[in-house]
Amino acid sequence: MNLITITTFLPLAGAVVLLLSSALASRGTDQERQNNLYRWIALIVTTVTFFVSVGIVAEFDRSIAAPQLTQKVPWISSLGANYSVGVDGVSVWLVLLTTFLMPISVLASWGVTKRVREYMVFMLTLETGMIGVFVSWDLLLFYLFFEITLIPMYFLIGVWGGERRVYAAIKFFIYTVVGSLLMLVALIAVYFYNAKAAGAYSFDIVEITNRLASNPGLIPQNVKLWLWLAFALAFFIKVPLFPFHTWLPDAHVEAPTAGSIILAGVLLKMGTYGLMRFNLPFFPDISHKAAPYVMALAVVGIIYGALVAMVQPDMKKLVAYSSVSHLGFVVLGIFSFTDLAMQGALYQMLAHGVSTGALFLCVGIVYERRHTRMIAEYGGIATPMPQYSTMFLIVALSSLGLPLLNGFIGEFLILLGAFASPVPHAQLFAVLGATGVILSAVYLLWMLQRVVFGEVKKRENAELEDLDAREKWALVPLVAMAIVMGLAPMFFLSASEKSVNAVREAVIGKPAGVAVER
Amino acid sequence: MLKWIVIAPLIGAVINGLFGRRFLALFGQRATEKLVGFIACASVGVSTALAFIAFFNRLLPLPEGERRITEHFFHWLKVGSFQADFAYLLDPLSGIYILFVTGVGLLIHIYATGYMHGDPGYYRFFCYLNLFMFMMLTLVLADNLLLLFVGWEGVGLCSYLLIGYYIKWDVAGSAAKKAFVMNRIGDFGFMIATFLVFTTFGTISFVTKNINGVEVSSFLAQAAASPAVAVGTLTAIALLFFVGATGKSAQIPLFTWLPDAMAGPTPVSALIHAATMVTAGVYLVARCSPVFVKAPTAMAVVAVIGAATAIFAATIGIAQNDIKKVLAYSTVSQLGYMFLACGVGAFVAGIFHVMTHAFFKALLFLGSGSVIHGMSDEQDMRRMGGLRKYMKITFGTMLVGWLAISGIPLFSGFFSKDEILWRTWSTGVLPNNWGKALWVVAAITAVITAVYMTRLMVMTFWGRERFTETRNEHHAGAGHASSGHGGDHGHHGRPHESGWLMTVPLMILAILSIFGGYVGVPAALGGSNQFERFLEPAIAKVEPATATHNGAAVAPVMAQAESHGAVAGAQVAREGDHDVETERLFTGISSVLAALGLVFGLVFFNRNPLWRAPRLLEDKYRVDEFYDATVVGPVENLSRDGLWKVVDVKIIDGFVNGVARLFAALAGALRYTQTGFARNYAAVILLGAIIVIGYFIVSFFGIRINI
Amino acid sequence: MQLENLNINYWAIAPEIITSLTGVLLMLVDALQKKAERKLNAAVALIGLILALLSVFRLGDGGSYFKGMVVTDPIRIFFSVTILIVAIVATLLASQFVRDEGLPPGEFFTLLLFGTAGMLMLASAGDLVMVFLGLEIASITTYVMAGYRRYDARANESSLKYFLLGSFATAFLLYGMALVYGATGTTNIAAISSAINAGQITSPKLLPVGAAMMLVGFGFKIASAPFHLWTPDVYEGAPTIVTGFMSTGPKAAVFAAFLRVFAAGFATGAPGVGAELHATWLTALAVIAAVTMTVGNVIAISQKNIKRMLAYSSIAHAGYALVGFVTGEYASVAFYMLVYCVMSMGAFAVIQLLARAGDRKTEIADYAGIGFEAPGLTFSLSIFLLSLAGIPPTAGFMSKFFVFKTAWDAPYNLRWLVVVAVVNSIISIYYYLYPIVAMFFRPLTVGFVRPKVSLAAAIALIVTLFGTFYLGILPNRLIHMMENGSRAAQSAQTQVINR
Repeated sequence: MNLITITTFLPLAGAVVLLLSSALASRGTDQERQNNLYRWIALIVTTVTFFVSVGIVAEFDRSIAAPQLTQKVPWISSLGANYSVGVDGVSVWLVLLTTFLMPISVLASWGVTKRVREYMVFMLTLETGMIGVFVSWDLLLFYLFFEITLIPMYFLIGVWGGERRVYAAIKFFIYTVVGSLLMLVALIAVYFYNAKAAGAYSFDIVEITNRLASNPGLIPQNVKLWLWLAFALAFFIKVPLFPFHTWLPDAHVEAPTAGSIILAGVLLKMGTYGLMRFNLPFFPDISHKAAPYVMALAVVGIIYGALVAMVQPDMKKLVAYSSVSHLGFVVLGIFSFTDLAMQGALYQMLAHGVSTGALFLCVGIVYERRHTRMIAEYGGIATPMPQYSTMFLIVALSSLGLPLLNGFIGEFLILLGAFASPVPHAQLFAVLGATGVILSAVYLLWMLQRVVFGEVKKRENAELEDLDAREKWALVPLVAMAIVMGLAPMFFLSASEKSVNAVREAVIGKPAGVAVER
Repeated sequence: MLKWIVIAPLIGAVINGLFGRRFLALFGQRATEKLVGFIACASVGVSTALAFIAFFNRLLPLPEGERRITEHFFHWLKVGSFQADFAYLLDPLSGIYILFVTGVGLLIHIYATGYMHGDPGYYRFFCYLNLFMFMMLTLVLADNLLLLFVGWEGVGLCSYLLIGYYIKWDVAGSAAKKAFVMNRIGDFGFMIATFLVFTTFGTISFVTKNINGVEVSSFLAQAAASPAVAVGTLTAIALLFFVGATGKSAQIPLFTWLPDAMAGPTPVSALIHAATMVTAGVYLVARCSPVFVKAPTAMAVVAVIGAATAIFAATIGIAQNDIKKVLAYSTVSQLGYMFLACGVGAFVAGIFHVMTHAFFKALLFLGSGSVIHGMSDEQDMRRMGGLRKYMKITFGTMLVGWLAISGIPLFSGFFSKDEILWRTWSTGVLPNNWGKALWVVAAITAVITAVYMTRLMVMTFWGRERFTETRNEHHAGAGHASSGHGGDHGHHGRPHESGWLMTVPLMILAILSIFGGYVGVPAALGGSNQFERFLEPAIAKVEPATATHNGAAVAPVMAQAESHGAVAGAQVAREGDHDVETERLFTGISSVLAALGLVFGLVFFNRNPLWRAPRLLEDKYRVDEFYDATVVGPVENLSRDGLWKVVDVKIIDGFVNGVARLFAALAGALRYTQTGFARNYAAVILLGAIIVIGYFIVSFFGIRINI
Repeated sequence: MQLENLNINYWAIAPEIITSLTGVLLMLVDALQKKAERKLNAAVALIGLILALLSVFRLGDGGSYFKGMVVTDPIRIFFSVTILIVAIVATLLASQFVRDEGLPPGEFFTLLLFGTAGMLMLASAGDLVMVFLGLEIASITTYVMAGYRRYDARANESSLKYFLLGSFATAFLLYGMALVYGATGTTNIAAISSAINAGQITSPKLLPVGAAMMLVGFGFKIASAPFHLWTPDVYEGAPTIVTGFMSTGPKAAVFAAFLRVFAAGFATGAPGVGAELHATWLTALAVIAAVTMTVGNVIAISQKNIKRMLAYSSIAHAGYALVGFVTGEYASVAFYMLVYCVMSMGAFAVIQLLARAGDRKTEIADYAGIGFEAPGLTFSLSIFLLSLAGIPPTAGFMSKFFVFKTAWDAPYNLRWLVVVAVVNSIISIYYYLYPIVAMFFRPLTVGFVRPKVSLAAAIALIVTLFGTFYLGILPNRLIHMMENGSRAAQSAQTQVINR
């Protein structure tokens, strides 16, 4: 049995178990005990999944760029679609990120009391969907998973969300679907162009990539542009890249804590992952032409997101906009086409997953105590909650890219890579993007100052109790990971190097690296 | 060896950070203080010892010119041709730095164990302080720009944590944030500079590195060796680095955070905001001197900014009443001197001043700390006076510091400052007479320095004992509001001398402040500038035109500088004699100036110690207000009322929701086709049928119908 | 073909025979027993339908019987299966429906069975006359079923409208047939096609007009714009189960006939009239498809009543199916209709159960907050709706994908149509989410009593749910069969033509 397949469907199996588990919980037992049962099942399943996925890393051979641990089973033979899974250097860490964040998200949802079983079922199905997206090597399969992730998240926001949850949920759904349906068309088109050249129908991503690379003339230029746009739009919305970002703040604010963690931690990465996996290798020339414009948008996103984040009265909204800014970095990196920037982009994806996840968790923790996310409602909670404040501080620092913490590596590599990029005006973009580093310090530290430090202004805050064991178990791994990723980046980067370079070389044939003029 | 110098404090920090709280729970405050204090001091002690060993037993024995020890710790970051490791470089420059960083650092640690006595956050404080040592040493010993940047940001972080140490106190919080953000602005410059260095030279290391099997010599060497690199690029790099420096070392325009930083506990002000961190900017400039010397424009900028800052801050210093604020501005001003030195190509003099300044400014701060302690958290000099009979040691030691900073001959400050002044006058780096002009500025600054320091001394130690008088709350010094340690013990009893934990470091520093200067007595004064000779190899030489004498030695990093270095030597030899004359003359002048300021101060402030300076000075030229009005405010408003509430909400969401509404409206309209009457439906069907049939007919017999 | 040999083969019409006989049997049962025993009726009906289904599988492939009146080809087989599945599901639901409504069960099942028989005839018709016969049988029974709830004014109105407009449209169809006969001198579809092919057309003027009129007639039956106006009123008024039944079964059956007449009869590569005709109806249908989708989806947005909403959605789906139609690929249409029938029946089943006797609760507002009160039903409904919206991994996605793919690959450029279809599916998401939002995201307003679900109904739900996922996740075998089938069919077609 293939390790990847196990990792992918273990959560789904868990979901089934949950559905049947009400039988386990003998009828008599009171609601709370049943709920605990459900929570524990979910926690165990996700944790096991994580450890299984660690096996993937153990098995992973860092010296090759191609997908590994693959499994390929005919699925819809008449369409040439296969159940084909595997990981390469890009996806392996994203899978890990997913499995790593899930147990934490479950822990973060311990406070959920409404329909716990259904909640956890959605969480688990969501996990399967997310992992599936990253491990699929078949276009149709990828699309399937890409869409599947929608539904659980839609319910998580809509059922367990805040006041304006309906609006947020629908907005989230529609936005994403608009993108993905256009992508579907592009996908079909690519499928046929490939079939025309190959003489056989196939959704195999590797095959299509190679074919499109081997004869660029296969698709007429103008068509290519449209296809590129269709793919790009789907992913830009997901990322989200300015100006397609407005669904994100709403979704985040209304989603339950765990929802936000997953949304920011993993779902957004599906966008950047898609750009790396499809737009660049499928349409190198178009990507090349588009690069300056995309980079420009990314930079706008970086600055715009940061500025808007700065003035948010709502902590969650602030973090949401900070995501817009941080993901801007990732896109900037991806479209720089230098090994530095693209490696940095991948690293930033992971780092953002960890630190932003942690930020949302921190917000959630105080929200559970005070039932408000308004910054003005807090102030001076370092006094009643010292441990929490320390964690919050570290998390914030990692998010604003302090050296020796995870955030820095990604941002630095991205900016350096962008600065060295062959793309026109790249240097300018890098310099402008670097201002994001200043702004992130502004909005995060300002938030800290208003929430954590200073005198305790509100009586309600004076008595807040510090982290409990459960919250520590959720938060400490994230903080630890933030430090580890800051100190030992090579452990991660060495695994992704080959595959990322492969993507880069797909775009600009020669291993450009950095032109050193002496 | 080197790595342990760096790591030792980190260990201390980790222990105190992780277990401090437990200790407190287990052993209670007193014992915890002992334990934590010991761990902290011990860890720093270790790295101090190692530092001295490394310097005297390892570095010095090496022949001049090859004095550089490198040590590789571990691979940190390597992508493609970019490589940044945890690797350390000990050369004369970093050598000097680790000596006074660890030395002064240790003293301040010891001092702090006394000063922070009774503070509930004791372990937290020392955790931060140790962490700072780690970061500072990383900064100094780093063998590449990125690791240096790690330390650079790291010290910034610690400064942030320590300024905001009194977490309950809002002022501290905002000061801390301000410090970090302003530093970040500087770091922005630093980062871009690093990018440029990498793209230009293909390496960011200070030493030759083997990258992917290719020997790449350090970017400094390349910069020095290759005329190929456009001066424009070098200038850009230099200026961007300097931007970083202005942030870290509080130069115009990024200086406003340092005075606010005084919200931190006094030992912090002494260690971070006087002796060590703030001089990192100077270190950076000195470290990259090969780049700077190739970029005259940048040099000029550095010099001018330095001089400007010096006099600008000094004038503000006169007007402040908070004892720590005075020292803060004086620090800014002194840093200005250092940059002036670098700007005129006298990097060595700059470093020399960094060192002496570390001694006497640390001394002064600790002294003021002792005073504040003795006055139980009073910082307003207007409520001091006549303290000399209460705290003799503090007074005595601060006296030394005062004379040293004022530049009275035979005190350490004199030598370094005099050196700078002379180099400024005799510089050949700057266009025609700029040197002279800058000298005038510097000289005036020297006088002002003497004046405000005298004012500080007079207001604090001489004259009427104003602390007995009822305070008027309007003047309540910020420091008091902090009531950082031991809560707010409202009125203070009689001032008292501090314990030996605090006084001993004072005395040691006093000694250093007296004799610290003798390592660098210039030839002109019969010395044989050991300091300069020693440091020379690590520092790039400016073009021979500038009369930096007695330095035939040339940085080994500079392959081809060797040749014209000799020429330099020759010229120096020629110019030598009458140079010495003038130099002596200027030495005289500067000492006279210092004395003048001193005397004036004594006379004037003894007469009216509560003299009110012009409003503008008291308000620090309203720079903060200016920034708020021109940058902070506008950006905030733009973001809130422009970007968020208009672009996001109105335009983008407006558009999206608009589309939705459009369809809804369309649907609403089309619904009216649903009349519910079968006859209407039949009519529509008929119509449809006619259209279809019509279309068929036309598409078949189109032509015939036309007939 | 040889006119001498009528080629009579009763096995070839086994499904039709079985269903009709079961219908008759039901009448007798109803007459014999004193008080109507619905369970028995249901059982008999069910057995009959299942037998019919089995008999479909042993029809064998290819062949035309009764002088070409009945043909067996993939179209027939696929659509017969679809129709019978619909009928079975309907039967399963009906037993509870008649009980809840307190209606006489006998007639209902009888009508259902006769209707099914008619549809099967439509699917197997190889001759215009047969088409007409089947259509009429199917229609008339459904007219009656629509008004089956006698005391209910809405039901009567719906039935009457359906009847009036239906006959109006049938007139077009009939006249069209007449003209085509006039033009080609035959009513046998294969013969028509070969006649056109051979250019042996007695009066070329009549042919296109006839074709156009038939197109109108079919267009009405499949509820394509602008002949769709009757649908919402009729669907809303009729008892939910009947709505479900007539929005799926007859539609599928008509599609079968429509396909055979146009895609087989009027599709020919022959230059001249044939090619011209082909091109013309293709263009016309393409446009109609686009309009139908758009009208259906857009108006659906503003609907407050779920049955009405689904009525519009069924219009839209006819549009999507037409996209497949114009590609000339049977497979895509057949698959689409099968999927559509399954998910649509499923949806109506839930609505039926939630609506209670007399369809009291069919406003979307009535669904507020019931999500977790009856999770089984509400989640099933959500799945059916998401499937209708075409979200993976449901059948709805696969069928859409299959159609889009076919259209994109079509010999003539239909990509614009694909884009229109995609934009439409985006619009459709908007209203398919409504009920889900109401059920799960909104608070419970009025008291809600969990409806009792009979075993039969439960089975019906499970079957449809299973279908929805099976066809969505593992459609391989089916698609495979259909594609081979349609290829075989085309080759068979060409043989017929070449003969």
